[in-house]
Amino acid sequence: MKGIVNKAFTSKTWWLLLLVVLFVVNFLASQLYVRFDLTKEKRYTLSKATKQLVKGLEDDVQVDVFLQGEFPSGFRKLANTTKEFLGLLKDINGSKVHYRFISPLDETPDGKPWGDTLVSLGAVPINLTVQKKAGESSNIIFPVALIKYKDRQTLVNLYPGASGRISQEEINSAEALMEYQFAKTLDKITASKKPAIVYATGNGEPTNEKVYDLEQTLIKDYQFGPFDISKNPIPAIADVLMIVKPTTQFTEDERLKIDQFVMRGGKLLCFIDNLIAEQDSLAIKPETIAYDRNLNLTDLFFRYGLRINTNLVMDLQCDLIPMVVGGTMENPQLEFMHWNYYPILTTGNSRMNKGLGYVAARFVNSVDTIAAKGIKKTPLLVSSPNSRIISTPAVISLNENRNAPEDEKFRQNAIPVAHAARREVYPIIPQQDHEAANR
Amino acid sequence: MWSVCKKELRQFFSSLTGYIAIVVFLLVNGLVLFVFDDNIFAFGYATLDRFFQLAPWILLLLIPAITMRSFADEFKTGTFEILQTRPLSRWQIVWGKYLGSFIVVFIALLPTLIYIVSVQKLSATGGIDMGATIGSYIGLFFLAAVFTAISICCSSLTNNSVVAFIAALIGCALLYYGFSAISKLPALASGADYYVEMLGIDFHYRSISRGLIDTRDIVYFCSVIFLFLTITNRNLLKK
Repeated sequence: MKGIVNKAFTSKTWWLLLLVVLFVVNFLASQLYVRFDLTKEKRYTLSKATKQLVKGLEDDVQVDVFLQGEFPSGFRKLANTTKEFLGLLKDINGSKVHYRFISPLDETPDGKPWGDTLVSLGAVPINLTVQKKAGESSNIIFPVALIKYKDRQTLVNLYPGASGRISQEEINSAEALMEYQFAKTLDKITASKKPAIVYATGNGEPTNEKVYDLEQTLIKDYQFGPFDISKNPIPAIADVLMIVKPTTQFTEDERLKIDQFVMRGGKLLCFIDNLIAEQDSLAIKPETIAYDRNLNLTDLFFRYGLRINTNLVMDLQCDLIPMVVGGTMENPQLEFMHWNYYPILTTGNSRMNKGLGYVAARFVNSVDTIAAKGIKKTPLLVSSPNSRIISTPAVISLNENRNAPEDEKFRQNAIPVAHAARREVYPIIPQQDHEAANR
Repeated sequence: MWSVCKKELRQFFSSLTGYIAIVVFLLVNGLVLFVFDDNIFAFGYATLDRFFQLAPWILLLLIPAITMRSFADEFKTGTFEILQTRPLSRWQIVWGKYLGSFIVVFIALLPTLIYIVSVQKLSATGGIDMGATIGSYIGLFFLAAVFTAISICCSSLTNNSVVAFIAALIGCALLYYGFSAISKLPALASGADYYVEMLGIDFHYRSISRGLIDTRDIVYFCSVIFLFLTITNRNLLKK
């Protein structure tokens, strides 16, 4: 053996031999590889939930990935990661998971190119213009996968970033999000029934075009519809009741309906703005007074162990608003300045919104917890370590920003502004108690 | 092998070379990351990404400077003849020289661990992504090892240390950045670019920097080191 190695080493074509050997070694390594995920949140390892989801598949899942063909190396990398990821899924449940890579230019069984089918399914292609020898040709990429399960099919977006920009960071984040995207879609496609969300109206909640985006986002995954709860009983099919920014007082009757809905096991999503404090008031005059809307919901939330305070959270970690800092009336000089009433919230320790990132909020009230038997409360959104609470009625003035900043007053850490409350056991409530609570 | 390595180290630290190399590396990194405009504090996120982007470029200059004399000087002063008469095999000489230079680079990298501690302590919430940082350090470690191998190889080509320095600089730059630059040429835009990029260090360095240790990347780094040390070994054969 040693003789052969020495002979090869001293021969004339030694470098060629060496390169071939190294190439073969690297090729073998690319076939048999092991990966160690060092990231804290195990971004590149399958989570338990995904594994369970894939293990529990009842029927075959066919995944068609359209990252095949000619495209820049960034997307080739994405295609490779997708292949590796699907390989991991196949390792878990090889008999049920099938995948293949198809070029969008190939034809479907009925003779049309796949690209057309994808567009009709709602895929948004990325147009990369690549300079080629014979003039310019545009290169259209569909960074999507089509999942088929039983008779249903749906798309997975493999490149959820802003499609206008293609950068290494975007590709990296797309790779990190891949599992979530696939798991979310698989979960949706294998679920037997879409949960129903009822959007409460009748108490001055915003409707129609004001909530268009909300509606469009939810309608993909849920049955969604507005419903006037002031006149009719809450429908029995509702799984979730959403109350978004009510502005008028709730009656006893409505509160009873809401409470009954929750006691029945319905889920209640409340987005409550306790104070009248609107940014547009500041457009007319430089000052506004924030005061209580008097929604009459305090008792209701008290029963669930929460209290939404009539105060405002101010935070040094905040959004910017344009302000007039000089110039003339005709030609004002505008500058973006920190506006402490627009806190940038961080997510709490809950599993529900883990990894959500920062949430921009405007004029938020703090939420306190109150001892309530058998109810588990978890903070969902909290303010930064440099925040404070001001009580109402309070004067909000645009001039606050220009005067000396009162940074030293921002001493409070992580004021909760959103909470989840869950009853561990459903108690049977004696009738008297119920009435007493409502009185 | 260890005696050669020890001799190399003694040579570095008995003159100013070793100290200057380490001090310059730390000084430039420290200034760019913490003092100059557009530093980590201005960036506002607890991450050392900028360090890991900057360090390869500094190492690109530094490592050829450290290793330029290792063989070139021996050839020039004729001490290589003496080395050859020692009861050492060629591989032992190559590995000894290689390890000697690499240990100097390693010593330069060690104090940068303080950056992790300081960014961790300074961060308001959450702190630094430890996994990605450890991954990046492993990547930087291999990158330095590859640069050292290339530079040693270039030093064994000539008896002029300036030529060795420039050759090593170009060699490292080509392998680090050249392949990814070539892959961006429009002529390769479809198909070959991915494989060309894969030949470069940058591709594998970025892959490890995400915090994902992949045996493929490690095999690549080890292959490149082995390739250049074998070439060095061949060069010595001719002398």
